[in-house]
Amino acid sequence: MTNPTTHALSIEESAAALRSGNLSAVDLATAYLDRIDARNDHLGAYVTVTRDAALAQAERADSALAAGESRGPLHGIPIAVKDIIDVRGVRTTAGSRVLADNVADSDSTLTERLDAAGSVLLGKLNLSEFAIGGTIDHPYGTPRNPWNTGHSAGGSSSGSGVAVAAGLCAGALGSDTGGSIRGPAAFCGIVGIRPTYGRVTRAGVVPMCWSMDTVGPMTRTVRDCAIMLAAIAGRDDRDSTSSRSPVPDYLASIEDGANGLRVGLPREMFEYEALSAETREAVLRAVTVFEELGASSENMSLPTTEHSGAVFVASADVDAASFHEHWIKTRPDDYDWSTRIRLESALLTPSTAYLKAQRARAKIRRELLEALDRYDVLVFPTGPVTAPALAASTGGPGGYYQGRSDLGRRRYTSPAALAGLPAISLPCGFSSSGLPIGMQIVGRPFDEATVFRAARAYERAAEWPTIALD
Amino acid sequence: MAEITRRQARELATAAGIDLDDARADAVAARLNAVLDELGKLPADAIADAEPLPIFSAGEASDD
Repeated sequence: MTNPTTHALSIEESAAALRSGNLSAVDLATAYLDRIDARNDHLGAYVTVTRDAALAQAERADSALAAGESRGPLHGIPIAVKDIIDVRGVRTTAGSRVLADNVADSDSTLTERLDAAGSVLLGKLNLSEFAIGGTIDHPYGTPRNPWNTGHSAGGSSSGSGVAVAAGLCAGALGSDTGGSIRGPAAFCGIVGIRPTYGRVTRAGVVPMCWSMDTVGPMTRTVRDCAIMLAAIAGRDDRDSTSSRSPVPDYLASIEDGANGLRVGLPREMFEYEALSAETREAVLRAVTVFEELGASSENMSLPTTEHSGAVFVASADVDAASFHEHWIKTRPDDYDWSTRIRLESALLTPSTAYLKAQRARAKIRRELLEALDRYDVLVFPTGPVTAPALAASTGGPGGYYQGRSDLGRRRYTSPAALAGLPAISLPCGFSSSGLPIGMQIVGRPFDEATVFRAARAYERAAEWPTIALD
Repeated sequence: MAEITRRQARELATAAGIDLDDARADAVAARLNAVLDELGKLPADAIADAEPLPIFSAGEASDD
């Protein structure tokens, strides 16, 4: 039986209700589908809702539970995936007119794994075109921030952020090339992790940048994030860059607290001139919480990360341009103006600039790895400001994603991307105007467990709301 | 400081097989200038000992 707050349950709470028989998977899926029907036109979270398939999956989940069979913590849980992830028989638009009629003829490994875990797929989520931020004209609806629908949900996993924060799914998959999970998670006041590069398969996912693309979960709690990551992580022979490193039991150590953790605070992230005072103060208050929980913190420096925005753009955009070269020349008018400018600029980037960026990338990775020899985690804001107004949140002239300000703000999310490190964003407060503020925790390669442990310790102490009120 | 002009952007684009109108040529030039300027601020000695990072395969935990 559902109640008015069924949509606000965490994955763990929903799973417990399903196991106890207090809730059926069909009722749970229906509660979310009804909310999607009522709110999606305004919020722009979903590109495609797979209602019939979802209800069929939910019926199978109920039948299995009735027979005493559970596939684990995602059994019967309604989730959704960013619309760059293939689901057989469903179109994958990548948020673009270019792929408006692109129906996937096979599943991604990700959706195979989520199906094997018993989850219920509600549909495909909106995004910035081709996972490249700054879209001006979203062909499948403009994603709106549930905390204030006049503001941006971030990008590129905007629909994922909106759907989780607005209670339109229990958890979602996003992708993060240079901040596309962490940015929307911060703007929408939820939890999202970019896993270590190679931790999660990308087979059946439309690429943006081959050497930085990652897929990860976006949820309302840290524990839910760990549960979803465990379901999708691990070697996949369909993706040569996926790791054979064993997937640990993330929940085994997630409640171990922050006592003894060594936290590094990069100066470059706290002294940036465009960092808002509210964001800086909120993250520093969170650092105080870590210290009260027994962690130690220290100011330190990652000097080359000051340039990481340009290093990221000169690397990732050129990769993206290579993938898009044919379409951008043959179907340029099918692209959003901002996406087109980014790709055309990248096509004209000098090769020497690209290689300089690759050298700087190596230096940034080295700086981060050396720092993580001394510290268990690095903590800093997810971005310099809270969600901008929708009209300003584009790659158009003067927009958030345009020009030098775009390169500047990218210093917050680019370093972990360039270095291939795990990084989580979780809420650490609200601005005076009621918009969420995100804190980022970066860890060592394949040490998502420590990242989750630190994030959970803070979350338990702080208890910020992660679902927007209607 | 990089100073790619509208005209230069259009010429580069033509060579690359792209047709830019004036508005897009201005936007492309501005974006290229911003990226090249920022990369230009990287001191040469900061990356003197760094070789280009290739696409790496799942970090040190991979056995590929």
